[in-house]
Amino acid sequence: MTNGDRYRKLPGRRRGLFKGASLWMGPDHLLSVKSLRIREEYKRFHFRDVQAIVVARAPRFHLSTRDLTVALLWLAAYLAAVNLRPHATWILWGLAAALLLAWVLISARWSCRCRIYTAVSREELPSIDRIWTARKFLDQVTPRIAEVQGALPDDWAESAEALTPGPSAQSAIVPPDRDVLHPDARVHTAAAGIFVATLWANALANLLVLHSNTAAASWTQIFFGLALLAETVILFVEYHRGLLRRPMQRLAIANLVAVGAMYYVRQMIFSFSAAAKQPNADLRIPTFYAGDALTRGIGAGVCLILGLVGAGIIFLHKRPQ
Amino acid sequence: MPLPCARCQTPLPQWELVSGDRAVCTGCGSPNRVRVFPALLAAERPVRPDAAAEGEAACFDHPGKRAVASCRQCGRFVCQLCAIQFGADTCCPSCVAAGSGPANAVNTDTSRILYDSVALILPLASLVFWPLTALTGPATVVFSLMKWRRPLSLVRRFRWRFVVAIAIGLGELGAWIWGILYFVARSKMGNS
Repeated sequence: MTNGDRYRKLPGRRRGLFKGASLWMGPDHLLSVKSLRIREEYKRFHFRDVQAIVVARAPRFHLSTRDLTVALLWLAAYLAAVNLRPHATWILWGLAAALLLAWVLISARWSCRCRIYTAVSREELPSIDRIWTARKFLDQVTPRIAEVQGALPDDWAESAEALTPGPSAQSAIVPPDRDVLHPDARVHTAAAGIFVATLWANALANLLVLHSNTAAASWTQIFFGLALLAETVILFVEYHRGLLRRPMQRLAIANLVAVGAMYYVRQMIFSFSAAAKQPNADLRIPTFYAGDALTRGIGAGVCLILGLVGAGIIFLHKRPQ
Repeated sequence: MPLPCARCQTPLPQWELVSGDRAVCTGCGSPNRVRVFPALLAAERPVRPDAAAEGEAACFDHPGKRAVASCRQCGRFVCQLCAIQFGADTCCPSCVAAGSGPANAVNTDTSRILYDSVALILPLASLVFWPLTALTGPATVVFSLMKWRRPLSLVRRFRWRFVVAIAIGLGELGAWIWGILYFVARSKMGNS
């Protein structure tokens, strides 16, 4: 029997660009797999050791490879439509708005965090990030654990009153969470608010100067690019000093990645556009690379998405009482 | 009941858990669904092996402690602290560390390098800067053949990534060979 035959896939899979997570059921344990593309890390939770599984509703904004694939397919359809069916582009914009709204709603309203407790560990299960996934996961796992451990007595609540699931303070083998190290860290600061506002302003500015070729339009892009870069550095500093929590720091990282990717996208588009304008240009070169308008449109879309995520982080976070 | 909220770690209200498996966190307001198992109720008792009396078998690593079992693989006596259960069998810490006997059948890997993913990413990533493919093309083929027999992921079963990587590597190598031959032939035609 190969290793692969021992394990059965459980519901839920987290597919990030560089990281992933999944859960598998073995003969006598759960296997949590965290993938780093070229390396996997495993954690086993034996059925006899599991003390509790808790699932809490919480916003989870995560761009998976599936979401990126859908975005790329939309982009390909849009580029084809611009060249072949210009009047159909409004349908694609409507579709994009609907998809984006669906993603925001699902990430904000139907997402969750799942933690599993044993005597020596207190682990989050990243692949269980949607409510329906958690429901299926619990339906499959609970009977298997009950089969090994038996049923709970009726008076379990009174018996367990003094017990806490997970490792005790003396036996804890996990490093303290960053939120524990920096209890005063906030989800958003003034700098984070300005950062999100700048994302929205950048998106709006790109849309307003979409077809403009003036120097002012170029300077606008440069100004917002530098502003976002400076604000990203401030957010990193605040995070390092323990003033800011992780969600906004990750948004800043996403912005940097987007800026880097847009740089190469812009270069490629300009190259194609310049080549197409040459006197002896091969007319088979795609002519729908509109240069500035296309890159500004893409930039506006990316800033809009990041701005929505930032607004979600700021307004959907519930302060602990 | 100090069951913590999965979102903010605030203890969930006990009165809600008594009546069902759902509770609303008083800290963040998130609804929580809870599954509790009998392992939570197991009393936390420290393991204290009994002292070995005169004439009793003693643990190999703790000579003063009474042995409770013998290792299935090497036969050493082990105390309550050293006995490690693998189903119905007992093993000593040395055999577990060496992966001998019953411990060999149990996979205890905590991480693995995915050589098939490395082989697939190598030729694809080098396309970003295409001159590198002159090196990565043949390197991918050699790497894939060298690592073909290495264990894959614990949960992955097929080696299709190696096959695709070899195909891409051969394709890149073939493209370079074709390109070199083409330019050599063209330069000869230009000279003649």
